[in-house]
Amino acid sequence: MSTQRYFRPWSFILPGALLGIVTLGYPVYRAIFYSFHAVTMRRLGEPVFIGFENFTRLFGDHLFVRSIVVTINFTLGTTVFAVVFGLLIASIMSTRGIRGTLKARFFMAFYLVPFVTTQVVTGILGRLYVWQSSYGLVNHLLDRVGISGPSWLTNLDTALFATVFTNGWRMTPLALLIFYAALATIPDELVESAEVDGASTFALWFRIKFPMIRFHLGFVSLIILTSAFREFDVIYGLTGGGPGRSTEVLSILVYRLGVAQGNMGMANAVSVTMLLVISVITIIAVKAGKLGKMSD
Amino acid sequence: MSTINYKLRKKVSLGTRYAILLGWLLFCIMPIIILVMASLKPTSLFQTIPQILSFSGFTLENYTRAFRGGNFMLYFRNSMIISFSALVVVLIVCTPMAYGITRLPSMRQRNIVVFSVLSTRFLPYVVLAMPMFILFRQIGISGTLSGVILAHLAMQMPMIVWLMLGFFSGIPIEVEEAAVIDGCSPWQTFWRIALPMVLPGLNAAAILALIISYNEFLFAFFLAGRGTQPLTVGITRFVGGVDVGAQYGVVAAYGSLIILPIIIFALVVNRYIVSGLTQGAVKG
Amino acid sequence: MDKFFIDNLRTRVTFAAQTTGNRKGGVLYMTHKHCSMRAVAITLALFLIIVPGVFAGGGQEAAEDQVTIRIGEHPGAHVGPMEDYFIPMYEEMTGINIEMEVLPPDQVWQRFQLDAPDGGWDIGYHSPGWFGYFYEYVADLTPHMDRHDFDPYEHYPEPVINSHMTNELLRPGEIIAFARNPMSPIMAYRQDWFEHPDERSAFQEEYGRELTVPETWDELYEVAVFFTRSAGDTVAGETLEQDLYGYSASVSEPGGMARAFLAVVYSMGLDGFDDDFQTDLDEPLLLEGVEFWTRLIRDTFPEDALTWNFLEHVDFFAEGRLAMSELWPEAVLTAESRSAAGNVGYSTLPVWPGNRKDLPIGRSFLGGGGVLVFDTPNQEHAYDFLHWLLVENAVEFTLRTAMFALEEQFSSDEVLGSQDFYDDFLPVFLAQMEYAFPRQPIAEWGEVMYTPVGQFASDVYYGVESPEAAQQRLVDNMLSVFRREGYID
Repeated sequence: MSTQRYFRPWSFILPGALLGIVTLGYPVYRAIFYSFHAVTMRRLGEPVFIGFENFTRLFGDHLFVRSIVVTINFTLGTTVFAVVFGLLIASIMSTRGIRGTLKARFFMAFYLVPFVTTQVVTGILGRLYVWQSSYGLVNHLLDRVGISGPSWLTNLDTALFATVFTNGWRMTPLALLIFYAALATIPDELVESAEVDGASTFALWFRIKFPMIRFHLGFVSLIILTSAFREFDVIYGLTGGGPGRSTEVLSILVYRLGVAQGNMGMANAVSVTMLLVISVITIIAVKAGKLGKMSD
Repeated sequence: MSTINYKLRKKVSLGTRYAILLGWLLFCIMPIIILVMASLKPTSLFQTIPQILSFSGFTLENYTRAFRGGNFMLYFRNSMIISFSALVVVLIVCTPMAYGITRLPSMRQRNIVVFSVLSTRFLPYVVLAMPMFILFRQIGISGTLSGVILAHLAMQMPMIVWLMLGFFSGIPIEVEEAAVIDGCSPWQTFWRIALPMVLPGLNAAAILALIISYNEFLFAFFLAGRGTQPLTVGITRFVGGVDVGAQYGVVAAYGSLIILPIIIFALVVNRYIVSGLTQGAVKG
Repeated sequence: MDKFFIDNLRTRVTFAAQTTGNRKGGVLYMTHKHCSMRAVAITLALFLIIVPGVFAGGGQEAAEDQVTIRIGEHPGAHVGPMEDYFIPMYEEMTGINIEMEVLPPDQVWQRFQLDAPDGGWDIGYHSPGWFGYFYEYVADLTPHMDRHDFDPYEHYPEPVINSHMTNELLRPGEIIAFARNPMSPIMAYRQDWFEHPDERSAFQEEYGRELTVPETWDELYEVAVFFTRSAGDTVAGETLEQDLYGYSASVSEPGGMARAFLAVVYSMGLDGFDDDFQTDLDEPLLLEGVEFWTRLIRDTFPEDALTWNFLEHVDFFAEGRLAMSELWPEAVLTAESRSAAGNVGYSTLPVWPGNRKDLPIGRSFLGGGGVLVFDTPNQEHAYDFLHWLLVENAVEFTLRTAMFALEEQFSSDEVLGSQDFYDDFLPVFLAQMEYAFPRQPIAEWGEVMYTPVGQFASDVYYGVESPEAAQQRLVDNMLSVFRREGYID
């Protein structure tokens, strides 16, 4: 350990730290600064200090509260979707006979396609060809089995579901991949001996597999949670926040307030609220998941 | 063998399992296939799924229109410049940074630095985009490639540092200590000893960063200007049917032109993506 | 600590070996020298890819004495003809270089607002109501028009000059743009269905009056409901393969909804706000209008219209799935295609009975736009190009784009002879323009009217909040913006 100071670590860290302060620290500071000011698109250079007025107006507005609820539903929905399906497919892939084969690698390569597909194209594609009410893929398939599907994207009750589903489709590969890698590290002998002992599938999962992938479950949930929380591209392409604000998550709200309505002060107040939420999540994750120990 | 009998009796058969996996495969690529097939059919709002998927009536009309009206080459060039510039800067700056962090002697220092990287890792991008929009305007780089690249640096840095942290902490420090004793300077130790050992990791990080930058929409949407928009913003021009009626076929062609290169790239470098994405999770 | 470290390390290394598929079995076994070389090679390769990219960018900058006109454009029917025909011809004629970039439609004014101060564009586009965003940077065209001995008042219809070529509040006494495609939505309907004896008798039976092209919004509602039918029913003696709808516009929120619903607002005789910045949107009449509008959409629009942004409904109309449709004149060629070709009737928008201003027909949103020249060193060349394109080649331009602005475009025999339906269509186009609603020329028009009114109609339609609460939000927003700008106390 003592030799470590010869590595002069700080001189390696310094350029990155400076770049981080310029590109990350300063904008965050400005976001907080603007959230206490009245700033409009036409007069960006003349912010007027107004204290907490942006925040009081925001929290007094039931549409903002609605947007928070939508964000929570969207974020949790995406996470649950991705984790459940990721775990399901990963557990099938990690069974004996499939795990590690060439076929498994082939499947995995294609399973990553949704994840690398450009998000805004995913959204547009969803709107034009998948969820479209009379010509879309989903309703076509439902038709085949004799169900007449709703018009997904123009219906208040179904639009959020479609949005969550689309984003879940995109995020599942990440969960699937990590769970597969984690399940693959469970030794065969362990599972076999448990099976020979007559353990039920249920017991096998809860006694052996879950404890072994507990960390990964937390990690995947955190990554997907945070990335769904800040999602903009998919929703912008798919619904643009509609219908009737039913998919207007906070990111979209920031865009609507700041760019479409030119009220930068309010937009930054929403951003800062998002910042607070994400900080709380990060701190909890670090405390609970010992993620800070990464570099040990 | 008894275990196989046991499995057949108790569990889902191999055939069923493959069927499920195949189903999931279809689920993953079906929308992409529909997009590509639709792009090869005449432009029309009104194509049912069987019509789109039928192997007749192919035309390249949508592609010519996408190329002609969509400034495809210009936007593609912008996408490339943004992705690669951000990538190079980020690798040059972040790789040493991650290395430095893992070699910090004090546990407390290390935790503080790691935490600050981690807390920016999950930052909502829109929080950065808004003030950047105002700032860039004031310092006169709004609408330039430099502005978008700067924003991409902000987006990529935490992720790359985080990834490389995992890879660097995975190599034993003893080798480097030996190098130091042999008289290597810190820079030589990093370049000659540490870096080569994390090369696969570096590849993975670079490839992931490239894919993320190429796909990025929000920053470019807020910050790019005349002649500097990447493909992801370019496609929004066709959405909304402003160009005389709805041109879903042209949108499909443009969308295919955007996603096919990145999907093919991802399939080719698949193993690096796998290692990049699993890093930090499996070894935690 | 150390033991943990080593254990951890072992999994890491094995995993790295598995996932990266390194044939040598793990990163640790590689020789250092070999790897340094690979790092160098990768870095080099990266730079080789980037450097040509950057230089290709630099290479596009023209030589210093070469004049380059930079055009920012709105998408539309003019883009193709300009790119393929007019621009190459002009470049060859004059040796001037022209770069045209078509911008995403909902970002056009934002781009000009941001780039105009830096002189980023020579030629831009404005739709009435956008001008305030960049009015300081626009060149006065009067001296240039004098140079060409061109008097716009002799060539453009008066309403077109007022709406698209002058702005008395921000740039008094100047000509700020060439009108290129000024337009205001009219109504298109399926003439063949309206004239079909089966339909006429069925309508007579049900409503006790003759089936006519609706002249009031209430009649429009009735007729639209009458024509809204399911697949399997018949229309004009033919069996429908798919559902048929009575009326539609593109009403995605907030833009599409704003354009379409503002037609109702203005038809009722409301103005939004007057010269003293007093609003009339706080009146109960607005609630009546939004109630009607909600009912009309719910009962007669195709549901997908709620995701359509601009002209999709015209495609739907051409496909024979709509009996009546709001029609932006620039989409007339689309309306007159497929099963609707040759069967389209045109009419001005219906009147709102008892409206505030005794309007004889409905008012609609004034859209389309004009092309303007920014105050850059290139402005003389930029003007000359536009003059050549839009004045000297006016007829050719209309033949290729179906865009109308000058008197000679409306009256040219060549134009009128080019399409059968122009005889019916153009008079309606002109009549509607007389009643188009000019937006108040303040910079904040979009902030107080366009976006919030569209949002208001959407919020009420979807029941996001009560009509009264939504109306209050609309008015509050307007007041707070006016106060912020110092228009009112």
